[in-house]
Amino acid sequence: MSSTPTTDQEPAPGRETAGAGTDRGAAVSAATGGAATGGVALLELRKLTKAFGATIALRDIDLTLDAGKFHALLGENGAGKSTLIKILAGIYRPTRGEMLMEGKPLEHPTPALLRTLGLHIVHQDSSILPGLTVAQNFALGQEPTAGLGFIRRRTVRDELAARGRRFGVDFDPDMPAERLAIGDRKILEILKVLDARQKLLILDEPTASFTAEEVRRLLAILRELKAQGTAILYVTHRLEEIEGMVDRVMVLRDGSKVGELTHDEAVQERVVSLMVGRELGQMYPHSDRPPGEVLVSARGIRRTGQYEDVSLDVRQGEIVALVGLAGHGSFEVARGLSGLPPPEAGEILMHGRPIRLRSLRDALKNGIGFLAEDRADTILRVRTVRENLALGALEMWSRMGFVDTRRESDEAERLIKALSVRCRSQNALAESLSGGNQQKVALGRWLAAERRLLVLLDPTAGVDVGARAEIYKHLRAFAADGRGVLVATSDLAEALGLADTVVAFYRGRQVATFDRDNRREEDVLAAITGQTAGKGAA
Amino acid sequence: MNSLSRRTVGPIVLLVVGAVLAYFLVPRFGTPINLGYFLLQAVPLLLTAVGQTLVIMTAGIDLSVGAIVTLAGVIAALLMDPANGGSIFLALLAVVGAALAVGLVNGLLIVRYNLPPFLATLGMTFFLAGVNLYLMPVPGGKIAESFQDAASTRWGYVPATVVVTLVLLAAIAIYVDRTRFGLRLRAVGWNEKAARLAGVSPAKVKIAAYICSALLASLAGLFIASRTGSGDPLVGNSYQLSSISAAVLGGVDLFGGRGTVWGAIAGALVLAMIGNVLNLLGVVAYWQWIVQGFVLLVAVALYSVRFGRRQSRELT
Repeated sequence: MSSTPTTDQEPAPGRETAGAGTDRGAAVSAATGGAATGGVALLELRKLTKAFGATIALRDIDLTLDAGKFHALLGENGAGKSTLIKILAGIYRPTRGEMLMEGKPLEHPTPALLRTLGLHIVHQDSSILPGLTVAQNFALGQEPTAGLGFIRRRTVRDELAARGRRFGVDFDPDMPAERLAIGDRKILEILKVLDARQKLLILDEPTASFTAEEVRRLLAILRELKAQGTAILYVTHRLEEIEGMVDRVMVLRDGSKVGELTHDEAVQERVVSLMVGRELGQMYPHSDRPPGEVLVSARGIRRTGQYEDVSLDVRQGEIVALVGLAGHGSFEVARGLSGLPPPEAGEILMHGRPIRLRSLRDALKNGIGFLAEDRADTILRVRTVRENLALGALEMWSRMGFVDTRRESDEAERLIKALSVRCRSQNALAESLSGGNQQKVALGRWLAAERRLLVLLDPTAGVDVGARAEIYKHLRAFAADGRGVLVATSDLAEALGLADTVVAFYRGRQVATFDRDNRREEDVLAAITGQTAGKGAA
Repeated sequence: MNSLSRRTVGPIVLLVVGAVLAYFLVPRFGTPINLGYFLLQAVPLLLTAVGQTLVIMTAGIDLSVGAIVTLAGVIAALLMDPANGGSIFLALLAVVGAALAVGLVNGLLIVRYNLPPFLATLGMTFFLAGVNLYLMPVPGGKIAESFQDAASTRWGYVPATVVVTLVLLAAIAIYVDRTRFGLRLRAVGWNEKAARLAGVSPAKVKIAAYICSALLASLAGLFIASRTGSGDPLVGNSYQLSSISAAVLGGVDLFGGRGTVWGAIAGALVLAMIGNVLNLLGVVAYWQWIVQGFVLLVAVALYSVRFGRRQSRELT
């Protein structure tokens, strides 16, 4: 992230004169002093514990949030982040402990009360309804009405425009929300909650499935909001994207706060080891052998409106990453190599011989396995882990149309062990697994099916850091066996860390190719944003 | 404007084209007497279809509308019968009260006890069918004369009830289009979870929708009773499914969210017009069913082709 660190930023001028209460002034000055102990914190949790029956979800959490500060809450899935957010939202009541807002105890906070106190949450799941217009979405749930429940449309539009101006974003109120990009939907949700009483904004994993550009835009808004004196609590399991602008990082593990770091201490390695409770070693495994012969190549493939004149090779033992902004061709090419849909022109060769690839079925026949970016499309949630693992290999494990259940069960057991899938048993339903473990099961399906090439779209979206490292390890092991991996990813760090070769796309064309030795993040970023057009392949 | 209103255009075009064709091709269709008769026949279908639409918009379905139509007629015929005191006021109060109760129970079964709408309202249908037959084993009772006059009042050629019904339904259409309730109704149908995160209470919205549906169905029942002058324990049966057909023909998406009350009004009129035209042509009853089924399937297939194409482009 190229932004300059913004520690201890002074509150924006006008904040004090805007008539903020004296409490707020005190909190701001305490915060700018760099210590939370001297003044009154905006929100404070003391020895907060939440138990569900015998299970302790949160244990003795102390947490201080100050006005005008950017706080991050990190932890793996299951660390207790969601429980903590639900307590802050007034949905759960803590079993023990205190919650204070500007020094005053909150006895029984309800969601409505917290909202009137200026505490807002943008939840992980989108509340934007694609079927309604932007203005309707903006109004929904807090509609200003005239008599008989008729909505004051003019008021809604004016308010939307006013809040948009505050952050330099401009929405067309009549546009159906389905035409908004994922990032804009999240920004619209933020605008929705930012009323005059705003004091604390909590964002729960806001950037899942964002492009790098969308992350930048969101952070620009948060920076502005912070400068205006609002406290931000940003919940994530990815420190990278906020590394430059975070003031304080709190790390949760197994329901306890295991660390609190200031801006300078919050470096990737340290946070990650706190989150997972052990040194991960290397996040990205290196290959020690040079790639072998060319396994699959595309020659001059094209699909109207998506990509043109793309030629690339995946060699045996190689992991190739395709990167680019959404809609610029990287995902589309990866889909093309799986026949979803196939290129309109050009050739695809496997071991140097042209193959016919008109559909996913053709791809499967040629030993290509495909995993879509949306786990809802890859995992059968209400079927067992075993059945999910067996999906890719059913034909192989069957005799005369009947599945050899003994073999299915043995193979499933082997894969669960090999991938260290954390599940109760192979009969556990897929939906009972965490996101990372579901992704391992999806991957396991193709490991079972003896593929030559794996095509993956955003393989670690929504997967926590521990599971990500494992997935990378398995991909590397898969490739090392003389096979190939093609990854289209919106995570630049992942592409740079994982892949042997990174191919950058811009406006449907491959604009640069980087191998291990010649790549810096800035160069790749420049390539996918079109700033080095014509510099050519390395 | 947006996809919501485009869904409404199809049914309205269908209605207009159908009416023009019928006017020129079907003898006697265009006569004032027939048009008045056709609209009068359409009233119960219009009322039930609009109620059904409000429920379908929340991604639900109300199979009990037919039984409520019957229940309203049965209660009215019993309480207006001079043998039982014959109070119109009491009868109307009882009908509205029963409809409120049925709608509320439907809503609570779905919201509180998490029953699928299909099952909850199917169960309600059986329950009410039994109640109807218990109250009135064979057609009978008596609708007060003055109340019978209400249904047959005409302003020139135009039946007064038709005007009142259309004004009422237009008001509902505008209401759903422009109010907080209407917006929340659609929001819940699109995505209940997202609506909840936006601060909407899906439970309240759904219960209100089932109550509206029951109230409109009871109006349909009162209308039929006042035309026939008596109660009939089976009279509402056909509206259970024809209200759904009319809504779907009107472009209302059975998966919720999409569609408008205007479309449902057009859909109900198209369905009623088909019946009227076939009657004028002297076509026997089973052919009428075949034609209605055919038109429904063709229309829905056409809608889904038009709207499906847009969607698939977004996915690629």
